[in-house]
Amino acid sequence: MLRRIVGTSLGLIFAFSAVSCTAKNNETKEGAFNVWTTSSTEKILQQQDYNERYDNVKLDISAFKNEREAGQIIISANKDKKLDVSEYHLTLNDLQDDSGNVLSKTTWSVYNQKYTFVPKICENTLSGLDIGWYPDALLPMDTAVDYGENCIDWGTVETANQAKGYKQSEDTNINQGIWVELNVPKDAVAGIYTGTFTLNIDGENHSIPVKVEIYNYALGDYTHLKSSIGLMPRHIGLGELDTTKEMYKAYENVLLDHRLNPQGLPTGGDLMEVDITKTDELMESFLQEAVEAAMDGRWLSFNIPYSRTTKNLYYLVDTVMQNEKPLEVLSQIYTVDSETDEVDFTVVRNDDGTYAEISQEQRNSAVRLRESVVDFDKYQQILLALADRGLKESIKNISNDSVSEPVDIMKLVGTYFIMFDEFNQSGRETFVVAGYCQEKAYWVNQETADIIQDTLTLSAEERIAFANKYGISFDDYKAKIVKECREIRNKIVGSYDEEMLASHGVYVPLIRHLNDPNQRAVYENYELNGYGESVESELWTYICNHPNTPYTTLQTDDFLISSRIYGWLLYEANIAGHLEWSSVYNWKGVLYDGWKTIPDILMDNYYDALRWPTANGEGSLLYPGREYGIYGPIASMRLKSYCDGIEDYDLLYELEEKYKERGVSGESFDNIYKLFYGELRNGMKINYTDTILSDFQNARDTLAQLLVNAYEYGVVLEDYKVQKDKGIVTVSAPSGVEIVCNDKQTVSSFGETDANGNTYVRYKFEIELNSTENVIKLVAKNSQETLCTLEMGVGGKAISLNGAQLKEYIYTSTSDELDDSILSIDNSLTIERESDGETLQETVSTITYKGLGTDSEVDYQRMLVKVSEWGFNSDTESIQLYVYYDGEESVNLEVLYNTENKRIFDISNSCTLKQGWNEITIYGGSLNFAKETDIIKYLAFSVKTKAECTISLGSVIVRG
Amino acid sequence: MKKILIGLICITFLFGIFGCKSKETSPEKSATNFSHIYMGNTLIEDDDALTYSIVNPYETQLQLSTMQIWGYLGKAELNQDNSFVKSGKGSLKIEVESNPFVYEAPCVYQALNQTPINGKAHNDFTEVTHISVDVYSAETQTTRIGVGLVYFWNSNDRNNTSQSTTTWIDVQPGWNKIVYTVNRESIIQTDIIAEDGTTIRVPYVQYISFWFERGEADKVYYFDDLKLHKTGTPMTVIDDVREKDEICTFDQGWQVTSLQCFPWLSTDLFPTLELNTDLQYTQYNRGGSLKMTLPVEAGGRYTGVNITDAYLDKMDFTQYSDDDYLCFNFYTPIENPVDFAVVQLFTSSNENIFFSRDYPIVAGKWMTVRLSIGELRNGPTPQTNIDNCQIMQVASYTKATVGILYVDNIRVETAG
Repeated sequence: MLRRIVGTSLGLIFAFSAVSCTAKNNETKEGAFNVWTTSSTEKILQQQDYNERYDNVKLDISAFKNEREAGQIIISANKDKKLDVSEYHLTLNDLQDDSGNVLSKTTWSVYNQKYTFVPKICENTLSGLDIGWYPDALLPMDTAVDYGENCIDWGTVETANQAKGYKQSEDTNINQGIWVELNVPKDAVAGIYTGTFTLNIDGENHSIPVKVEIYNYALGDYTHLKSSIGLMPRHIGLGELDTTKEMYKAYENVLLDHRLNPQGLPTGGDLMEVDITKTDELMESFLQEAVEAAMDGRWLSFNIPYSRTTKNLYYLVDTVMQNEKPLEVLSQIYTVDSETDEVDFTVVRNDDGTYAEISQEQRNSAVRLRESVVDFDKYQQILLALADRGLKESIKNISNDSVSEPVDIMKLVGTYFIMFDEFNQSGRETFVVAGYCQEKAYWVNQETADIIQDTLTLSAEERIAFANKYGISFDDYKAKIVKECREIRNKIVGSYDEEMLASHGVYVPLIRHLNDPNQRAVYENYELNGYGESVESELWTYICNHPNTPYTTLQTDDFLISSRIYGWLLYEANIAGHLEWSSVYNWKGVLYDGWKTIPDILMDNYYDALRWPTANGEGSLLYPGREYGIYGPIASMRLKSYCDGIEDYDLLYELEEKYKERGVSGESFDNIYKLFYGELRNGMKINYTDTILSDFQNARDTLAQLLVNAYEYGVVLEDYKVQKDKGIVTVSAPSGVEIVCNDKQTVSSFGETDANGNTYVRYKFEIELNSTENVIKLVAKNSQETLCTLEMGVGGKAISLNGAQLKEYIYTSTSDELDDSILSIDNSLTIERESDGETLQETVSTITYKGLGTDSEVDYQRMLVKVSEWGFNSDTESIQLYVYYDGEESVNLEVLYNTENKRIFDISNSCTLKQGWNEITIYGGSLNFAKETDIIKYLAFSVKTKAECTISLGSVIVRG
Repeated sequence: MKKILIGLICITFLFGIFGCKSKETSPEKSATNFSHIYMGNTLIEDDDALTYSIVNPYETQLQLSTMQIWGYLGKAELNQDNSFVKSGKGSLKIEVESNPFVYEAPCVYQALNQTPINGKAHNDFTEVTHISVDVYSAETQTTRIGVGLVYFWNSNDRNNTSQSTTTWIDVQPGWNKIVYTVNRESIIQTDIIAEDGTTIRVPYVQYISFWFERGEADKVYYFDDLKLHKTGTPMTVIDDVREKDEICTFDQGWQVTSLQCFPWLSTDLFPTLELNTDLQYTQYNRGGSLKMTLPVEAGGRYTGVNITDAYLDKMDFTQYSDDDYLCFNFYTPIENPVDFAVVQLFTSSNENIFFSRDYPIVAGKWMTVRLSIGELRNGPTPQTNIDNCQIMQVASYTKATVGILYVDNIRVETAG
């Protein structure tokens, strides 16, 4: 199915342009060439037929102010004529809106697309992606002209195919893409601009109609998404033959301009494993770079360099039973003072943070490892130097009129001790080293914060000057630095593991480990348990050659929309930072011994997509400019798409910030967000459909409407919920603005005052959810005119069942039978449940498990609910269940599921049932379906107790 | 697996032209008389050298794409200033940075299999006797450039690279011709697929390496016309026959030229490696030994050589029992003593099997190191297993004075 997206998907966004131009207009040389357009969200392969797309001749772009957005002009050479194009040139023109405002031609950049060869498809799903020539590098058009690459040459293509051993199954047209990128000025006037560009192909002019919609909202200058992007000087050197800092800076600057932060500062070298304390010159170089980063708004975080020392680490293990077999698990790591022989650090601590006691018996049984660990003396030295330099620089800037804020380096500081990268894939020694370093880092952060508190100081005179200059007292500044030092996030790349004994730090799991809120909660809870509830959670993730499509990826053999939606996925998952292992992997790796590579084979930087041998294009988002006489890198389409997604992330962030002023909770904002973007994804996988490109454009349009409504008119769509089978819409607007929803007047409204003291009115509406596609239409108007509108789909039909209805679906076996392991099922009871301040009377089915007896080898009791009638499939957003438990002691509950095609049950949820009501949400995106058409047949409720117990099932809401 | 990779490397001669208008010019020249060449800076006669092929004329950016730079060299770029061009319109400008990100040994690797770039392959050294390159030194003093051959390059695991010892050649200010003599007989033989599709066994070289020394300020060199000089004289293959239990006797020149210094060090910390034939510095007053001269550095830096797959791949440790010993001998002269020797063993994936700590050496006396196979096989850490050993590292520490260490007779001694 996915192939259709590349090959044939028209999408709604093209429908408009299809009627505005005749076929004659875009044909040249009597049908030898066709010129057509598409958006910046798909890849047009060099050798594939797109004949049915040739009527899309209008370049149609919508963008926010201060945002970059692009479109593509494609020249398709007809295989039946096989005429070469000696040269083509694109001439830009100014565009105008109805009021005569001009969008200058100087706001555009034009690039010639270069094609890279994908020799094998690395993903293992049936995506329909194929080997061949994929567009990627974006060569500035002027350079392409200088190097004679503004042409189509059938012979050259054939030669290249032969060199790659590429044989098309059938003769195809040849496509050449031109990437036209609009950089909308911040002060542009919103509106719809039109005009034409001219593409001259071997002397024949071809007119391309252009339409640009500029939304009435300006994207902020700087990103809110942290990142740690590998940018290794060594790899730059392989492409550029240049390992100087000047060249590194040229690359760094391109990443920063695309809202990405390199993983460290230049002095950190390849992997941040450099002893910068070794010489004054190195330390000074690093501190200067840190100051520059702190004063450059494009930086949000960097990892500080570290060096190693060797240390004796001792560890203890416990024996636990797993699957009735004894298993040794790591239980403690500690170090000993070499002079006193006393334990001087324990990783697992007492609740009050003091060292845990290690008995002599335990010490006798401990295993000693002599291991390479982070040198924390030097680590602390660097932190102290950063705090000191930040203050010194702030004092120096007091006389600098162009600086208005004190220098705060500490806010950017993080760590990534790559020495135990992906620790889960290694043996126990790595767990010991990682556990020690992670925990030690946290406590060194605290100790360093205390030192900064005690030692960072200014004279009375300087304090006054400081406060006068920056409008903040020195004490407040210092308190901020101290707090930031305490909260430094020490990243650990890998997935959650109970043997990771450190209780502080931030995990960076692969994105596939964050598929649904239940999975994400594991990481959020870990972090909050370590840092405390007062600290905002900072969830990170990474992708590294896997997972492959349909997960979001940056791979060449993936759909371009995948990297674009990446930013949207991260925003939904509350992910604050993302990590990519490299952006300049100019190596050709050959796989051996399963996963190791020999990156020694000479490669062509532009034409070899497969570098890391299991993922085309991953790790290489930038191409060396050297071969074209360009100092610094040449960007790829994937980088542009990736950056566009981050811009979308920032727009969402800015929308939510505005909503927060109105008191909208994160949960409510998520409810709204999912409405206009939810169908694009399934967990962290992209939900590929034939209309995904137009669906994505619709989501962007809705986002624009919400931003303009909120920032221009103060109209905020606060919440949307499904209660039983109805949708409840909450909207607020300033006093004097009337809101109508689906042509209905308000159900209820009341006045409020927001955080800024502005009065507004909050409205609630109910809408029916009885169609397969339900829509809310909002109109906001004052006494004179309509101010703004919003039309947004709210999903399919909602099914609501009360608990009492469930009784007839309950069994104990998949042959739909009920045995005596369940004593009774009663659906005559009603239990009160609080919901949004209201008390609901829940009718329930109450199930009493018989109990197993203490001698039983089985320690769980299970019942099944047959749910096949509900149509719960991969497209279902969620099933929300309310379960009442009356026991005093909490018990564990596992919810499992199966399908017709997958009879074995998988776990969907694992939770603890506490006394009272428990809400359980099963997300469609987190479940595994063997086929797209699969539906869930049974849900199994497995209570982990041998004793008799009772649970009651209340409402079930299925959201389509 | 590595053996498979180096054992069967497909060389094809497909000419990939990817741009619309190729700017590549053919560097190949053939059947040109070549009656004299230089060794270092010294003119020598060589009547056998009849032809040459140009590996890199340094005329276009694409030709520069057949090179890699390592060790944070600095910069290598196309020069089109005629003042520094020997022939054609371009040359290679090399700037060796004095203040790099990281102080590793700066070097340029010239790939010999260039098929992905221009369809040419120069890896077969059956007929190659010399390598030459024109070098312009912009320095005011005599400097040195090292030349070596890389037989098997694994940049992911720098220990596990098979390459020749670096030959250092003095370079005078202005134009020089650097000539490197190839001992084709001692190059590891590898199966390749020839143009006619048959499999042939040839001395195979992956890269030519050029090494540089950093200075107080950046150093600048220009390279032009890197050539392979060929002969019609047939090659006599050295048969690496070893006695039972023998790993390396250091009795033959190739056994020294196949050693590799630690590339993560700056080049000034490379020891000088020589085949010693002075019998007083051999263990049994016969054959030869490895003479390792450690550079002067008062700080005490760890430097030495890797003894890699050219030797260890042929040693099957699994045939030995736990009671056997891995042995070798050290000698340091009284006039230039080193204080300690260090031995490390690694697997092919660079996992440390064994680290000897420091063996104190008594100057003026041959000493024997004996490592228990049983302990190396069943040691305290999980990766300890001599059966996986692929790299043996022999090293010592630099001092304020020159230190010399002789190594001889690496072998297994069996209990019986």
